[in-house]
Amino acid sequence: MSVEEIRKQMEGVARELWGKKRTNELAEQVELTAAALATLDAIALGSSDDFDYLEGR
Amino acid sequence: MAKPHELLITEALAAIRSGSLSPLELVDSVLDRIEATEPRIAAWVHIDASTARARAKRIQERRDFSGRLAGIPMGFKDLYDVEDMPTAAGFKPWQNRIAQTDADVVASLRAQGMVPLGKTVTTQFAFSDPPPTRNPWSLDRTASGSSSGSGASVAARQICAALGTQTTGSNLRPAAYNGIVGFKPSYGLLSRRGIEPLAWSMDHPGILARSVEDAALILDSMVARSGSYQDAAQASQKPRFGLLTDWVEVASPEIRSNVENVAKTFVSAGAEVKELKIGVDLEVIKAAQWTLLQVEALELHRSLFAREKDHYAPRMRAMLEVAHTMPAWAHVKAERLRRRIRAAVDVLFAQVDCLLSPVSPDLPPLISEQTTGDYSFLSAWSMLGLPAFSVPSGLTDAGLPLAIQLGARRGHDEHAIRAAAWSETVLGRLPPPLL
Repeated sequence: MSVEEIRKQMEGVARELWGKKRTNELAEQVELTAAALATLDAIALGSSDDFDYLEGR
Repeated sequence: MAKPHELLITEALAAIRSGSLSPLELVDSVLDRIEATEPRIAAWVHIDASTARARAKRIQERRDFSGRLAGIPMGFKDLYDVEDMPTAAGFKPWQNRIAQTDADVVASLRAQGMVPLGKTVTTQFAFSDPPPTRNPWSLDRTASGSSSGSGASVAARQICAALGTQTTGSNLRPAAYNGIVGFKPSYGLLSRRGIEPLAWSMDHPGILARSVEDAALILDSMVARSGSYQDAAQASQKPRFGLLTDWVEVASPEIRSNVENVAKTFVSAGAEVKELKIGVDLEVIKAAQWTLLQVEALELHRSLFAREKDHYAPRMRAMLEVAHTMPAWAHVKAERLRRRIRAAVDVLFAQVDCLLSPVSPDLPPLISEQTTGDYSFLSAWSMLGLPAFSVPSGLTDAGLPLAIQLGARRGHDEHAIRAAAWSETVLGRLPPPLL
């Protein structure tokens, strides 16, 4: 699923949760999150083993 | 001669121990100042004057000045539990939720003779819905958030110091916008028990004070250890700074110019300043931090939100609604990025003691803009748990405060304190705002 498709889904679900009323705040949060997802999607990390929950923060 | 409420904590303690000032006089001076300025600032949600006066009087009568903060009144962001005071977190259904015990850090401060005065304004659940608090330097501008009341009250000389919290930029940005010192110690150094969370892996208790030494003294009072952070604040060793040029370049011209001038001043004063780049796009850092905040906040609020969503502030509510749709891959990728960003920053700390940057790319926005300000330069140090300071670095031509951010390696809080204290000595302290 592309980020744009995720964004549409996000808007749809958020609108439904909000009671079909779109507010400025909701639009703002959708924009922020969609932009973050697009940024994360665009960066390639490869498959190196750098994800270890046990190492802690 | 300075009035008691204008004194730094170190000055007030010296006066109390010498007998020239009583804790009750200090508390009364602070209360008078609050009465005179609070209608313009709106920094407090709860003040317990009678209990504070009684405690100050008791300390005076017993002449028990052995505690590190004997007789010093403090305020607490309304996320901290303070015994017998409400902890509302800006959430109406919690307005009368009285804390039965102190948060761990409040208890530690109380054991050192601190006098809890009251609770300061927070944005709801420490998120970004605009608070009522006004900036003492310019009443039409935001005092920032989410530690809005703690920042504004300390700047307005309503209180000697206050605690805030930081998950993204909520302690250092109010410090910068209000022209005071902000300190976020390393993640994990301080207990978070009794503090309402927002995102567990990034929530930090923070300090807002009027000098670096005051902030270090407060940290000493909250942490049981043999050494002294206050000693670090008195060291004269010149730090090795890394100027983060990739962040400086995207700041507004006024902020950029200030930080570049600060770097030149530091070099003139004998410090080493090396130009460095993190090498990770700022938008990537912000995206990772934003994703982590959303998923953690949603898990934290899921149950309460299902029951009480109508009481959530609009922006907080919208953030949680949208978080329900966050794909799992984004969370995994954000965590992977957190490790990559930490590795990139560790490379820089092999060369310098601390990283120098602006706190915010912009000056405090107008209240009419409905924002608590830009967090671009703050999310990295929160995500990585580094100790970081905001130190005042001058005033604009319009009289608004400017500030630098100093971040040190995680667990090296003494390095951050030494660098901040040295910077404060070189740059000087700001005068109080004209209220």
